[in-house]
Amino acid sequence: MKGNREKNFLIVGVGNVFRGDDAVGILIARFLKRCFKENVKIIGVETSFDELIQFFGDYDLIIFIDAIKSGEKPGKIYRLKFGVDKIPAQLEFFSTHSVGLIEYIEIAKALGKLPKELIIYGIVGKDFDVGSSISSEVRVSCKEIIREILSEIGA
Amino acid sequence: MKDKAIKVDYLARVEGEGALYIKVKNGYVVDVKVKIFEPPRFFEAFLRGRSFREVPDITARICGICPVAYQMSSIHAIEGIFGVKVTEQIRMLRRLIYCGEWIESHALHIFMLHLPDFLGYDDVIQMAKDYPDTVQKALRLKKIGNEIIRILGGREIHPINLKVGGFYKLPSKKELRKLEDDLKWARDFSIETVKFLADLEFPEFEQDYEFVALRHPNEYPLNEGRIVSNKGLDISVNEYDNHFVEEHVPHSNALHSMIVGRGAYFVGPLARFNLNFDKLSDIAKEIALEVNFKPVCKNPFKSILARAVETLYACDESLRIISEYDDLDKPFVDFSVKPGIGYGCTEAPRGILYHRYKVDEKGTILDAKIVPPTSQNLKMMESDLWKFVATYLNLPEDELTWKCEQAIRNYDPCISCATHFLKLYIERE
Repeated sequence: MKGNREKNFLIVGVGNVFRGDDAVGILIARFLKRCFKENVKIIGVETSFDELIQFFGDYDLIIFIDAIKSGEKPGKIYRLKFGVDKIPAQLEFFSTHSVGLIEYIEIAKALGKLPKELIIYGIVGKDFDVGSSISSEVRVSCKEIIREILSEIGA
Repeated sequence: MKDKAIKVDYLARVEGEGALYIKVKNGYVVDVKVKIFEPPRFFEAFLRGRSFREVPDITARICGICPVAYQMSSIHAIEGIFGVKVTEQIRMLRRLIYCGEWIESHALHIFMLHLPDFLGYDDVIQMAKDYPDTVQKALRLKKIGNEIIRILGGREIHPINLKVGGFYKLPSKKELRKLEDDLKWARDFSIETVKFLADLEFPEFEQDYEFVALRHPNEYPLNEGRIVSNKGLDISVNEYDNHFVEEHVPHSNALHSMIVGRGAYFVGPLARFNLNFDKLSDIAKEIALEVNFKPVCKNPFKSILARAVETLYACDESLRIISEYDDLDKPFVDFSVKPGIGYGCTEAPRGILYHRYKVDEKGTILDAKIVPPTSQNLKMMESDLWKFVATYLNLPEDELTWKCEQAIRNYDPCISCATHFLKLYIERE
């Protein structure tokens, strides 16, 4: 499958496969990687964003997918356009790294390396315990996000 | 400042999640708790029943910052059981990949996590606005460390190329040589970094620490050595359990490590520097002395300097190993599986990382014990805060809170690997 050739895009799945719903970003990215290969990156617990931000500016569109801890209904999907939508204060992008997703995006901004368009998909998770598996609510939302991302990149 | 409690719900800029609680009454510190919430020792349980072959890759997943350390400690422990002796070249390549991890981990902590404290910024985002060049260079330095891991570890995401007996596949001399220009740049930048950091203002603070690190007769310790301290400890790795104990503390379900009969101890870059200064490369020694940083340094805030000197050393050591490398015929040595207990201790970026495994005749894991460096430093962190808060009680409240967090960051606590989970609270009444 090809994305819109006009758009130079990158999809980044963020998470930790060992911590329940925190796996969601990685699972979606793994799925999309089968279709879009080099246009998909996975940021797991064993890696960090810093190498990526050097290249943020090379893209027209970057889409991040990450789990959110907010206490809201599990599976709820947020679509946030960086620089346009205000990131609601109650949202905590779940990260086992001290320098998390939003921080790295802010660093990229401070260094003048933002892509033309940056969209964050956040999925409210239920269970983030080490060793737990992804909840059924979040699993259901995965399908919807994949559909939205495909239309986002014009595939 | 009379009665008060400091509670910080979320301790920023430590790896993972943490919580700190300090209580002051009538002008005296009455309670300090670095809080840890540890789920069951997931990985230790998870490893039971697995083949020894899986252990390096499973344990690598415990920590995002130091996967190589977990692989190396587990591999050394298991090789101890089977009596594996690797070739000198495999040994050197293991040092090289470990150097890569030190470079990327130290670069992250120095610039992204700790330096903002010293320069008076809330975080690296604010710092990046005023110091874009430094942040760019820090990212480049970190990337060079990652690149070493990628070439030797087999892939970018996390290293999978290390195994009991050696490597699955080795890089060619040509591939490694490609790193040389970058590493020379990294060495120069590390020299610049040591000099820059030496001019920072360090809080006046010292304790009579027991520093613990590996010590090897011929080299600055990474993979091998005896466990030594500045207070007379000198043991082989398999004696670890006789000299170190883990104790439950009521305010946390994580374990605190102690030296039997003496209590808290200090592991990590400053401990290594203090105990192994003579084993640093010439350039690393020379630059450290030039900025008047020498052993025994008892100011934990200067850990950032030790980290920078070690980064310089790791770049220099990588260049040495690469220049001496020749293509190998066989990337691993053969061995036969046998039952037994094995012990491994290597120098993770944050300090000694101890693993112990018991396997049966098929090499199935019967029992696993993992003691990460951050658990070993926890008691020392609390001890520092007791003394630090008492000394600086007169500082304005927000400044004291900030300094307490900075004091914790001296240890570069990696909470995701120490406990796999931690929340930090500071509370003032």
